[in-house]
Amino acid sequence: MSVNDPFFDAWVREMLRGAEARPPEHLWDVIRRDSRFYVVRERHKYLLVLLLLLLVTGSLAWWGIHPLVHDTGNVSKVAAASRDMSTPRMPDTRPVISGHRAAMAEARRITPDNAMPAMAHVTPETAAAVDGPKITLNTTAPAGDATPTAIDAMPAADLKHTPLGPALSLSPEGDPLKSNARPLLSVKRRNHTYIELYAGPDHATHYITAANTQYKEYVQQTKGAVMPYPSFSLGVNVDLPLFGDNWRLRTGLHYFQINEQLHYYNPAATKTVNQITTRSVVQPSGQIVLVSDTAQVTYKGTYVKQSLNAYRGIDIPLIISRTLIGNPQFQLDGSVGTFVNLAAWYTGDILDTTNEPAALHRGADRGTATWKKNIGASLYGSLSIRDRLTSRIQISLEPYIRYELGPINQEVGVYKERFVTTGLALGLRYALGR
Amino acid sequence: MLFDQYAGKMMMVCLRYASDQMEAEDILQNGFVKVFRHIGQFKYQGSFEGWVRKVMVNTALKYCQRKRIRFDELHPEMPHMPSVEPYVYSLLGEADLLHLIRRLPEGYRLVFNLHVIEGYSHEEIARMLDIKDSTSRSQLVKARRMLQQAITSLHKTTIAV
Repeated sequence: MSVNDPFFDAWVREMLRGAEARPPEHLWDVIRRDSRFYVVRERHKYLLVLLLLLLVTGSLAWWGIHPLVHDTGNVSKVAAASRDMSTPRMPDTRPVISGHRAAMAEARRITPDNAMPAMAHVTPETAAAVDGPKITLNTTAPAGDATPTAIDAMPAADLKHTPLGPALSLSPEGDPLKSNARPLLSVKRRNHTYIELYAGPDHATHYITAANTQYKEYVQQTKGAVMPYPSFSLGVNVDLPLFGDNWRLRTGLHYFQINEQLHYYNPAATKTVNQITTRSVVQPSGQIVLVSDTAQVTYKGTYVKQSLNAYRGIDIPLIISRTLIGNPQFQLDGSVGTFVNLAAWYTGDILDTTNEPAALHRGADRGTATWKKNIGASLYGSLSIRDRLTSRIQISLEPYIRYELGPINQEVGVYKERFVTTGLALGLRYALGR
Repeated sequence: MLFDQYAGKMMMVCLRYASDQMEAEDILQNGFVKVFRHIGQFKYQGSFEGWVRKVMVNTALKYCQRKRIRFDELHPEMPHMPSVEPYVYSLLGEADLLHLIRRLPEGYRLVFNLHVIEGYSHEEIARMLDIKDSTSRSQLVKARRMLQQAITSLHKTTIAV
């Protein structure tokens, strides 16, 4: 047998030339869905890495950087220190304060006003370093209740506590510090005004509904020809307090760009052109005459067209937010509102009623207006998670949904078209003022 | 629609390269995603079907490269096979042929597909698979011989039954 067998090779080629196998039924749906993820993954991988880094940074800020998160831990440490201080110890070198008068004199020097800063500075280290007499004072105890006993050897827990006025309780079990009556300091809550910058990826669902059954097939073809493509929005807002800090109003400027890809494929496209050929004819008289022949030439072939359709617009958001869960570090807000469109414009191609791709246009430059220059109002709802990075800056992650109230196309005789957008806005909020 | 037009033919291409049905579906899926993604790069040079097929073959090769196929001489002592009688060819359907091709060892199958069906030269195959020209040639000879042997065996089995 020779090394080459052209006959065998040709036979195999011929056998498999037109062979087909049935692909799985669901594959088209999977391809349609995966095209979007593939595009997101391949084209925006650097953006995704950046987003991931931002999320990691935000998480680190949440778990590790801000001291408020460790409040409970610090209280336990203080409680532990208080237990140490209550243990009766009597080294020979320490001074002894004894007697009812001495105790009362010391008690007068410590008032509710200076007790708090003193307590605030107690740390496990400083507590451990205290080696002198362990003095526990009750600022409100009446003089008659105190017995003339040497209190240097007395555990702090043995002193009676009478909650007559502003006082702190420090239990021997190491429970957290708590105020029994009104707070020592009344901190006035500040209502901040914030400036907010945000951006994020969007997913727009394109709803096209036929005006009547006559156009159903056309609408189906139009839907089949467009595929989702990564979209985005960005904006700047002023965030104002409405009724205190919990109710807020956000307004500013919002830019959105909804992208889609049009895939048009026609395996049997024909194009007819008029071809004019001019030639010179020399007549028997010697005169030269120019003769023009006009012929119609039809070209047949495959017509493939791919274009990126971009629907862009600028809105003014009017959003009311309510803080659902909040502490100085973390905040969960719920928001509802409306977006009022200022301007909208479009580029790309769509299929016309003859199933041929036609350029999208606003009408200003092409004569016929297909799309609205102002798409009106839309409803907005979101949940936002905010984390404080510094005393002035908060990072936020806001999943949202936006519903266009009216169709975006001008002529609704054939079909109505609208977008419902879901997105994830990543933002930074900066507190203005002092 | 483009998918409806070519899915059947391209599934056949994928089945020839894949080890099993699942892998073939994966290749077809990823191949079509690439087709839609890069459809703008089609330059109207050659047929559109040829371009789609090329995308599918390249996708299939990516899958094969991940598996790190070894192009070893699997059957160096393969006995000399008499040529297949021409009438045997007429008895074989395309499904049978596909089945036999898919039973070839991966290295053999890859080179056989690329050379005999796609029409790549040994130099091109060597570049694509990062092997020597001589390896490609020898793999092809072995693959062809093994396939002919399988066809003959199938024929004998059919007669016996």
